[in-house]
Amino acid sequence: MEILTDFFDTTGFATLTLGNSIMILIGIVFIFLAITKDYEPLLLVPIGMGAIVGNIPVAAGMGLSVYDEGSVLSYLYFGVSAGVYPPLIFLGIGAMTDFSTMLSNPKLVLLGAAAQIGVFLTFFGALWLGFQPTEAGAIGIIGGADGPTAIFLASKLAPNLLGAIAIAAYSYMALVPVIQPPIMKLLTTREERLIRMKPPRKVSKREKMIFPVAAFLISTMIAPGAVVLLGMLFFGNLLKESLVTERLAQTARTAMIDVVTILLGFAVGASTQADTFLTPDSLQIFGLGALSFAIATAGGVLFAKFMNLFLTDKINPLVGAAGVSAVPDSARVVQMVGQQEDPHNFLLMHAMAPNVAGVVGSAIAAGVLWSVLT
Amino acid sequence: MLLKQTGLTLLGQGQGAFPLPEPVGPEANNLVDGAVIALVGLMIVFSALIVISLFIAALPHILGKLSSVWPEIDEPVSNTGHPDSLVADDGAVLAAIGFVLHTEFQRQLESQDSSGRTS
Repeated sequence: MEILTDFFDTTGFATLTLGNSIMILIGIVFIFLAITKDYEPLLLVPIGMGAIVGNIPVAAGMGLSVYDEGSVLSYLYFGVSAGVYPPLIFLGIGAMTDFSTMLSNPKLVLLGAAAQIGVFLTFFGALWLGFQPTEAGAIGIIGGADGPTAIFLASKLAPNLLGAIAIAAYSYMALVPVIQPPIMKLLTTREERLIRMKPPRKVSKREKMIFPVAAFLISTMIAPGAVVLLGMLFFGNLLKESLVTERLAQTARTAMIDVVTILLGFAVGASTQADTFLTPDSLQIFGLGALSFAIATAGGVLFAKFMNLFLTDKINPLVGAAGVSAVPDSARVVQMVGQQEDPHNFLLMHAMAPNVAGVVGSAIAAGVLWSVLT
Repeated sequence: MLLKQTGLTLLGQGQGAFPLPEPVGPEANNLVDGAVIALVGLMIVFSALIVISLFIAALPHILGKLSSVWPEIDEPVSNTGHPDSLVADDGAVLAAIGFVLHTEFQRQLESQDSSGRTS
């Protein structure tokens, strides 16, 4: 009888808390949303399943939790905590990104920079709410709308908030089609939304080959903290554009990025244990995350309007919203909102320029915050 | 290095290489420092992307001048993307449209042939 009692005390039923139950329910909701609503399924399914796995209560001393040294989950989580997975994902992203729209209209790069105002204003807002500077920096990068960058910076600056920041970042990336359009319409007039932009110029192969090396040198000499993320991003792009390493580029943008995404999502989900995730800080992080996306969208749109004061070939201000580097969702949102006004106005190609510039901009912002705050 | 020293000093963790005025209170000091970091950080991001955009704008001209020494034998390519590129490949889209049209025409011809035989 005593053996049975002892065994029962080791089961999850004996030690399940309300927090564990809530987190398991959240994991199920993520999986449900991913499957039924198609909300970022490649991320929410691994995160959701990881949340369920990570919140099964285990007996003390069994060493099964993601935070128990030597456990299998801890080895998977090492790639998150040490910041290994995000650069590998950036390698795959670089290998699938076409920078030609950005190369054909370089002034749209500035819209990617303008959208990073969401990062820094959110950083300030987090400080105002009482977060430590390192925590505020990790929260602010949610405004960069880049999941790997957010996880990378959080692992360096505020590992205790990594779960909440990752969930917030990926959740709001999935909600870009909901968050952005009202802000875009609020800040633009109908006449501005009807602006048609000149078709992009042709970009030579040589330009596309030189760009990754040159852009890496320029950006990392200015912000060395971004060397890891941008190095992998532009390395992947060089694999693609050099045309002599297509096999490596193909692997990077398919099998490799898929493997790392699985491990990253699952490990992040498993780290969202109730005692670390269900805190008042998490609620504040979610609120700040929503604010950061809104500010970033507004920043890009308003900066496009500001640029139009000096340009003869006007930019459609909607394109500024694509500076939020949720590639390619925010570019698709720009296309959708533009076509609501004029079905024959194709803004997608133009919007991809600030979209990919925003990836570079958010990586630079992360590098700056990491350099300054550590 | 300069910015790191500045950042560390602003957050009260550095050696005081750049002396600051007396803080009003610790939280107020943090907010002021945070505002400065936010402003400087945004300026750095803008600076980097401005330099990149200037380089991109100058690149065709540089390559044009180098073409006499290093001629470009490949034809300029506009949006020929790779199969898994995030940007649509116009050639592939046109090919897909052509294939669908061809298949549809073939199907209509076959249905006309079969209705002609049965009548």
